[in-house]
Amino acid sequence: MDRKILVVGSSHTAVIAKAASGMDSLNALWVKNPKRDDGPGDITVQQASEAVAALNSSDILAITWVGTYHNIFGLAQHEQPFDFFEPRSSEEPDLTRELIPYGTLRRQFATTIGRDSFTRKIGGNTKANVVLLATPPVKGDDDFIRAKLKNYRGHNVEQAGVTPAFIRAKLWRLEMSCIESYCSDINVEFLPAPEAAFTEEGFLRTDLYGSDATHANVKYGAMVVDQLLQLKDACSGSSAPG
Amino acid sequence: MTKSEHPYRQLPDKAFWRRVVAAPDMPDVDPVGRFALKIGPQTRVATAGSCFAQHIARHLKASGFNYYVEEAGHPLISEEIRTAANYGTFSGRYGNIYTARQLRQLIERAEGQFSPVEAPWIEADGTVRDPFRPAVQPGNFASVAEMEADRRMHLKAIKRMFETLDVFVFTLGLTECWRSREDGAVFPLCPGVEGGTFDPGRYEFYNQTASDVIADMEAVIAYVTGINPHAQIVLTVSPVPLMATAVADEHVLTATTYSKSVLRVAAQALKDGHQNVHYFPSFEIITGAYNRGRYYADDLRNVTEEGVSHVMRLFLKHAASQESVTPLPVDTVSKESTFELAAARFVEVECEEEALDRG
Repeated sequence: MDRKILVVGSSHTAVIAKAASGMDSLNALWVKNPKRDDGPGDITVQQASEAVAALNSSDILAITWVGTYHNIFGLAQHEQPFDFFEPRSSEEPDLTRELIPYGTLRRQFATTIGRDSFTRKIGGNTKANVVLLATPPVKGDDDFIRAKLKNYRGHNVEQAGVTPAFIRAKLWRLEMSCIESYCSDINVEFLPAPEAAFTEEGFLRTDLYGSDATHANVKYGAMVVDQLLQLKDACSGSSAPG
Repeated sequence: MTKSEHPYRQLPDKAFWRRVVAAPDMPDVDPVGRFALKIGPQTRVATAGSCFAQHIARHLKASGFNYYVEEAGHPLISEEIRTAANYGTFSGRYGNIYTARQLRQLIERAEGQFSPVEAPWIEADGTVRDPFRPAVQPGNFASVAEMEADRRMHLKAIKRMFETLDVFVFTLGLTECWRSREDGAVFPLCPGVEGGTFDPGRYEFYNQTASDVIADMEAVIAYVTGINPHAQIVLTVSPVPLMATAVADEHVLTATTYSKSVLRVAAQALKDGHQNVHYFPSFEIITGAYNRGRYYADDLRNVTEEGVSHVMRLFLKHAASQESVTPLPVDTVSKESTFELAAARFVEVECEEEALDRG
C-alpha cells in the first residue's frame, strides 16, 4: 500500500500545498484559526481531526502549528529594546539594550509552546507517524519587513520599527530549540527547516521570501516537500520515525 | 515629689507590660512607639533584606503603596516567570541580603569602589552562578559572559534605585557570614551550599559584632543620604531564627539570640543617631510573648501569614499618611482562628539559608 503524507496546520501550510499540487501521495491543508471558522484556510480543526483519523499507521502526518511566537514576541521593536546571549555563540549581544537571561527567555518560550493543544489533539487522533515542522527562518532584510508590514498583532510597526534581524534570528532559533524539546516530550519527531534554505548568516534566503513579512514562498514549500518525501523513503519498510 | 508620686505615674499605658502586652487581645497589641515617618501614595518605597523582608515587599505591593521596583524584568516576560526569576521579589534583583556587610558591599560594588576577586561559580553542567546572588537565576546563567553582563545591569539598577527611592526599608537578618580571606567579600550563603566549592583556605566564617553592624550601616546611611538627601530609611530586624549556626560549639538557639540582639542593638543605635532612620518593631510583633508563639509555623521558624499581617497592619497604621493607601486585607484572619490554621497559612518565601539544612 502506498504511504501517504498529510500536512495540516497554519498558514505556512499554504506554500507546501501549492508545491505539492498534483502529487497523489502528499496532501497539505491549511487549518482555519479555531476562533475564526470564516477566516482563511481549507478546513476546520474538526475536519482536520477527522482527516488525520483516517490515516494508516504507515502514513506520515506533518503538522505546522507552533513556531510563530518569535514573531509575536519580537518582530515589532518593543519600547524596551532587548537582547540576549545565545548559548554556544561567540556573538556578543547588543548590551545597550536590556539583557534578558537566556534561561528566562527560554522558559517564556517553552511555557507558551507548551500551551499548544492543537498538536497534541491532532497528533493524538491518528495512527500515522507524526512530525512537527519548523517554521521558516526569519528574513534578514529589515527594510523588506518594514515595507511589508504596517501593523503586526496590535503593534504599529511603522512607528515602533522592527527588531534587528540578528535578534529576530536568535529568537527563531530559540523557539525551534524549544519546539524540539517539546516534540521530545510529546513523542513527536521535529523536522527542522531545510538546511539549504539558510543564508550563511542564518536568515532565510531572499529567493525564498514570501510576499509578506513572515512567510516563505512556494520554492521553500517545495524544499519542505522534498524533506517529507525523503522522510517517507527513509521510513519505508521500517518503523515509525517518531 | 510626694511620697506617692514617682515618674512611672505619669507614663502612658504603652509603658506598662500588663496594660499593653498581657491584657489586650492578641491582634490589638501594638508595640510601635514613636514612628515619625509618613508614607503617601506617591512615596517610592524600596525594600531589601533577609527572607522576612520578602513578606514586607509582598504586602507593600498589595497594599496600594508605591512599591518601587527598579529591576522589574522585561515586560514581555510573563509576571509568573519574572517572579520565579526573582524580579520584583525585592526592589532590585539582589536576592536575600542577610547581613549589613553584604548591603554595604553591594553599594560599594554598584559605585565601582569594590570589585571582589571571587570568580563566577561554574556548575558541573556548565551553567554559571553569581557568587553574590547564587540563587537569583533559576537554572543559573548560561555563561560567564551572560552572568557578568547581567550583574553589570543589576549594579546599575541598584545605583538608580538608591538615587531615586524615597524610603528604603531594610530588614537586618543575620550576623553570621562567610567571607573571602583574600578581600573580605561576604557571600549570602556559605560557598558550597548553593553553588561554589567550599575551600577553608579561601573562605572564613565571621560573626559580626554590634560595632561591625553599626559601622556597616553607618556607611550605608552616609551613602544613601549623600546621593539622595531626602531619603528615609526604615530598619527592621527579621524575627526568623537562624537556620543553622557555624559558631563552634554554639547552640543554634543561643546563636540566634546573639544574632538578633546584636541587630536590635545596632538598629536602635542607628535610629537614635539619625533623624532619617526609623525602627519598626516587626521583630517584637512576631517574637513577643503576648502571642504565645502563635506567629510561628510548625517549624518554629517560618512566620505565619497571620503574624505578617499583624506587622503590616501596624506598619500601615503608623506609616500611612492620611491621604494614603488602600487598607490591607489583614483582618481576614479572625480572632478565633486556630493555631493550626494560622500555621498552615505561613507563606513560603525564597530563603537560600534553608539550603544549610538540606539532607
